[in-house]
Amino acid sequence: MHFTVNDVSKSFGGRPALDRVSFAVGERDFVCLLGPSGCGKTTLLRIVAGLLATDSGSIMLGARDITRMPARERNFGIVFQSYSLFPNMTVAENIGYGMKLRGLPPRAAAARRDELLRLIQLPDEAGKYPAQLSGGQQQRVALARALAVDPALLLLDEPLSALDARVREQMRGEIHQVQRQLGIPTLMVTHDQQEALTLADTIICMNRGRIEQIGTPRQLYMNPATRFVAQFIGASNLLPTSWVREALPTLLSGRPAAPDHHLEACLRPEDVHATAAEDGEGTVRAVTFLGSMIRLVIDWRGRSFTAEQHRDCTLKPGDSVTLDVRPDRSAWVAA
Amino acid sequence: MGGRMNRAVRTNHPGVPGDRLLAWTFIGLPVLGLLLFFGYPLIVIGLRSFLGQGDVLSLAHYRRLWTDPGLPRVMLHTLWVSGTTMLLTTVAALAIAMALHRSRMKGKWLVRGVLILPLLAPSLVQGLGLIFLFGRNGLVHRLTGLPTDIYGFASLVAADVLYALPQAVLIISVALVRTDRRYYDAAESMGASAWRQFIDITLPQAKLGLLSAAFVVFTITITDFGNAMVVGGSYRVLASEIYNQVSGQMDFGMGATIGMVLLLPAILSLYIEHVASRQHNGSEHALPSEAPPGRGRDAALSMTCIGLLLPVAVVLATVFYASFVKLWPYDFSLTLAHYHTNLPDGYTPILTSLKISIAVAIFGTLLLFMLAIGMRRLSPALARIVAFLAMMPAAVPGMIIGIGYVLAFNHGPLSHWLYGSLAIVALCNFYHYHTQGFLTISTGLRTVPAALEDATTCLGGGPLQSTRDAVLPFVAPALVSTFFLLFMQSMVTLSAVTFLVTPELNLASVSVMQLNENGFISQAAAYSACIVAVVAVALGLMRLSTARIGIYLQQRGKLHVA
Repeated sequence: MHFTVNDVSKSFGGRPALDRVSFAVGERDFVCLLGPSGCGKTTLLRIVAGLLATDSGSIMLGARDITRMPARERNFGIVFQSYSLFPNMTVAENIGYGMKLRGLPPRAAAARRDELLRLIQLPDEAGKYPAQLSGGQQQRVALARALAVDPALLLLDEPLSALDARVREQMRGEIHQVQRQLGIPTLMVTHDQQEALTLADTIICMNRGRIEQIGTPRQLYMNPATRFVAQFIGASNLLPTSWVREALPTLLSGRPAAPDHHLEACLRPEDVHATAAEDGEGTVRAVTFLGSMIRLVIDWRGRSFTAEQHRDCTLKPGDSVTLDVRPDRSAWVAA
Repeated sequence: MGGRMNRAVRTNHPGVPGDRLLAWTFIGLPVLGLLLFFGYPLIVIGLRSFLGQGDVLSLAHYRRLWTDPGLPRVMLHTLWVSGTTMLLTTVAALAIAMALHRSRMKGKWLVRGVLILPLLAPSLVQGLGLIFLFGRNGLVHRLTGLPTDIYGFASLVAADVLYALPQAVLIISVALVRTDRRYYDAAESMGASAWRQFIDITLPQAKLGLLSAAFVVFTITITDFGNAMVVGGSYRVLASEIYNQVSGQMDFGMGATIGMVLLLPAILSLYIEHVASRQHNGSEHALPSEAPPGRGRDAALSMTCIGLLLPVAVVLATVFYASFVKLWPYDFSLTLAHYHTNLPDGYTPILTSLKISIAVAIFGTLLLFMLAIGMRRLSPALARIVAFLAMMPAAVPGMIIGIGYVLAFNHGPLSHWLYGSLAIVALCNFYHYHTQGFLTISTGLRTVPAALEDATTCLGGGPLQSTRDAVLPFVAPALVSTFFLLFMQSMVTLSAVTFLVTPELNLASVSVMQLNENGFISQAAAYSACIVAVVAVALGLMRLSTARIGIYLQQRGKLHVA
């Protein structure tokens, strides 16, 4: 593997922030660290960058152990949420900063700079100061500055969180494209599951300083390993084994052997289908219009279900419905 | 999470060995300076106050505070003057602050301008102006023939109020600005009258600001020595008494003891200020209040401002005018004579003051910057101790520092280098005004985005590069302000350096006092005018350069979203 983190732990004043975390980033991978605030993902990123020392464990770049290497010698690019450009330098000077520190010949540096300016689609803004640019433009300059030194690893710390919703969407696409085009191994921290799902090859879902699950976006959504992942990524109906055994035994076919209270069935709202029926066992409690979708809350066999349906759905609160569930779409998660 | 955690974390970078050495130099040099040139003289003066005859420990000096035939009365005088000044100044400052922040009064810029004036001159100029106006040979006596004897309680209070007013306005203004507009919006929508809003919102919210302003004024007055010397006359207060004991009777033990007494209210005032700043109800992000229209209120506040600030301006303008007048108050023809005749030292003291002030500004700003930068690499516990040390000079009145310097450095191992040198005056001024500069730079450092420093490090920059490229652009306005503040304060300060001048080394502000004592009052005025001119130019340069730097950083707020 290109880059690996092995058994890294860190605590602050006795409070553990990271607990034996291990993962790897491949040669051209886009990896996302996803989790709620306080889960340790930023601490982990700072340890990876070398801005923070780890208490134990090791970090390898290829075959080299870089655990004790200072940040400035690691040659990683980093982009922060807050743009963090030098306010007194022009766009061109900002992008050229790392190359200047490395003593690159001015001509080579200028060529590289122009190439990056084209890549981030700001070829005409080289002479402007950061204060003259929009948030999205500043963030693109920050990205170019990080890429200019041919980093061994690109680190992105919530790079889109400070941007307006529309700009964020557009930047998401640009980051994706640039990363693919340059094939730079990338590690991004985010709390936004949508961002992680659309950008990442691999998502590392974290909670309370531990890794809950590592997998492709599809794996994490379709087969969440734990109750936390099922709830953090997308919405889900979580059903206790005892209830499933009585009310929905068809789901039991895919259940691994384990004591009842260890596992719960997870059903995504879009895999729960409600159909109007006079004699249906279910009752619609609430209907919420979401634009492209309608969300229904339905009481069925003693539990409350969330279902999502196309907006053509005409059900109203109080309607009687039958529920259909596809057993192959359910997953069993650790409770 | 963000900010706070990152900051605490900054201390355990896996660093390069050279970085640590640099960090310790940055912190070590300024701390060593503080211990040697602030802590040591303070300890010496403290010890001296407890040394009786034959150098044995005794409370004899303190006992004399009660048993001496004159001292108890001097202490009562002091309390009486300071208490009266405190009360008058706080009320006046509240009115002016209300006019500035809770009215639609016109000409607020003029009010702000006049409030700057007292900061431009040594603290005896108020007294000088009062003498020109109300003294035995004053304008009033000349015009009305009334018997005027201005030396005493009333003039001292007047001079001190005029001197302390701007600082009180500043403190109360901060409290008013920090009160969120939404309180007033809520009260307004519930039908509270303007008066009720003042009683129920403004006063309680500004309570700690008022308290803090009152104590600061009390301390300024009790330790102000310029005006006490000039208009106090036979009405003796502790500040002039110290000077008497030390410079007149050479009784350093008693001078040290009175100094220790003066330390008490100063420490108390600093403590209250500290509590006020920590417990203030408002916030730095409060929506600023905008006063509703109110003609009556605006008119009343305008009149109050004129009534209070006209004297401030008139007293200073009188000094300026008198310096150009042939024979005040008999012959008002204009002349430049006072600027070149009967000046025993010529302009040497002004040049000396200039040299010293520039040195203090340059080296002081550098040392404070090193200290503030170095402190960020310390563990939080250690940083708190250093910060406390850096804040202490604010609690120590100038006279105490001055006497401490005399006691500590006129004899002993360092005297050979320091006695009668420019360096000792420069050091004295720097440590006298250490705290304000330290606070300014520390506050400036807080605007440096932590992420930018991290980005610099990841791009391959060491501590020098990250200081130059990530820190300096954001701290620059604070550094410029500190530079000029140190310069201006060194130019006008009187209380500490009075004790350090020698026949060969005189200073501008001390010269003013000496000229006045020797009866050359018009020359004293001319000298004051020169000081004001220099300081005003410095202030102008400061405004210009900070505005210039501000252009780069206009989006600082935006850069700081994280």
